[in-house]
Amino acid sequence: MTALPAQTTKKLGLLIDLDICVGCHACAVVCKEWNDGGQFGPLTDNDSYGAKPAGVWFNRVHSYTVDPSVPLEPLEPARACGDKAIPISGPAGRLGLSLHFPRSCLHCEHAACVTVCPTGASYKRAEDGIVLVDYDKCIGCKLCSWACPYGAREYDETQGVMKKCTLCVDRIYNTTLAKEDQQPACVLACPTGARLFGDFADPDSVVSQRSRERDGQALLPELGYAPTNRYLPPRPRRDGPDTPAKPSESLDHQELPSVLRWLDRVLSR
Amino acid sequence: MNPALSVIAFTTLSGAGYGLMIWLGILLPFHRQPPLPPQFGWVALVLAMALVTVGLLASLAHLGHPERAWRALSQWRTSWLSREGVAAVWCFVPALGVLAVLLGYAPVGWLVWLGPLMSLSALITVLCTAMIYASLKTVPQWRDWRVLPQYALFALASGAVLLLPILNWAAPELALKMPTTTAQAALLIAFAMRYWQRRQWRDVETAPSLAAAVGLPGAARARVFEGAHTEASFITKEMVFRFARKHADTMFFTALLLGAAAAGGLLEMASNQGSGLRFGFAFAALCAYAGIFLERWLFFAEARHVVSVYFERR
Repeated sequence: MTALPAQTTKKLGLLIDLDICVGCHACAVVCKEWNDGGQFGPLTDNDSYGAKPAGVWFNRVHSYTVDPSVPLEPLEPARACGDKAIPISGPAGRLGLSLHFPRSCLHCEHAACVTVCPTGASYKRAEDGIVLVDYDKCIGCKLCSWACPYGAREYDETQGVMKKCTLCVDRIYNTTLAKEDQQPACVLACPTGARLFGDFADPDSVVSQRSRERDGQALLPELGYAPTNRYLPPRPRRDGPDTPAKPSESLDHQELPSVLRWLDRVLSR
Repeated sequence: MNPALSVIAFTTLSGAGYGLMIWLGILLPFHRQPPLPPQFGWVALVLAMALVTVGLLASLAHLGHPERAWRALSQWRTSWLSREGVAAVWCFVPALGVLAVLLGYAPVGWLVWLGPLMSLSALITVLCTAMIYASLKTVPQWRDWRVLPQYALFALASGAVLLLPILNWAAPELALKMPTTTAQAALLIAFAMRYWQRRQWRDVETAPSLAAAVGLPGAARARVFEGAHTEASFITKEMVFRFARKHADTMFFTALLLGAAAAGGLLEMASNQGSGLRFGFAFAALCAYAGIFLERWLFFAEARHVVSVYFERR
């Protein structure tokens, strides 16, 4: 049924920290790897080693640069809590900021991709808010991909159905995995810990707290899809001139053991 | 948006078929003088149903699993695509009823309610098609109140233009002044409305800024440094379709020339010839269809999906 649940018990989603994401694509690659195998695989590829390789991915990492010459205004109250200025860039002439942006399904509360589905193949789970596609019902009309502003859904040319991020529903409830492994593969793979998984309906969950502390942003809120996932904007950067590290180090001779003191004397000659 | 041939063929062909049904549903029961020849009604209706069927089959062609298409009738509570499917299937019921009357299998008196019912069902189906596009918040150009009347007007116009060669074939002695004026007016209003909409959208920035789309504060400026993938993906192929505005203007001008000017002129010439079999009506229908096809191609090609903002190097 493509009617959305009035309310979901949990709101499972991801908190993605754009401050520390280094754009290594590990989340995208491990996503591809896990979903090629797990219950929802495979994510097909066509012409993998040919001239025009193409394939389905649930997660794509874009790299952007933020213009350093624009003085940034404080966040508008509608977009953030509080009125803190976030000076993302310094004065003109300094290096801009590179911003790596992993893009995947945001498991929206008002998911238009679900309501436009003519077959009932797309659905949002009432228990945890995960948006899924029943690959046995999907007719591959692609309308859901048109309805998604985030480009979260990709069509599988080989199987003729639409595919999307499952929030690793086949991992997070999989009791044959160790407790600490019952998380989305992208979260476990991230080398900088830029991705956190949790329940945004619970105000005391780590993701809720972290999102509150650092003005976690819902993407394109004006469209009204109420995405569950949040993105943490980059932290404030130094604004003054860089102070170079001191060229000479101070070595306290008195604290060195006698052998090293002798060595230091010999080498310093 | 990627202008897929199957969707353009579907919306234009079935639009013409439904337009024809709308006119027939009114014309057949209520037209009195001069009397219409008996073969006109069923030939026109069979043509309308054939166009609708070909259009629907074309729309099935772009599905990944056409054999599961029946499932698309199930979600009419939320999905305009599903509603359109239900309306399209329902529309065959009054249309077959009218056909039964015309072929003598049902009482003639039934036309009075079967005809308008067929017109209404056909109109609702066209409006459902338009709502599929008009309901998408992700494509601002389509979320425009003019999209709905435009789809209805283009259906009515193509139906009216198609009606003329059939009428001329069935009753060559008639000059067909009145239906000609109707068809010309419908074409003119439809293209004028499209022109107006296009003018309004051409200089409007429809997308949010990239910085806003990744959650940065309002004034921030960001641009693409490295793409998420080296080759095209489904998203870039389907949604990030861009082509030069210069060509778009040329195409739209061609559509106007064919659909409004050439078709209107040919209709005028044919109706002025007075009587006899006039091929001008058939050529006018072909020109109008070509113009509407081009217009529909642009309707998709010029529409800019919000997701493009994550990809475009500006």
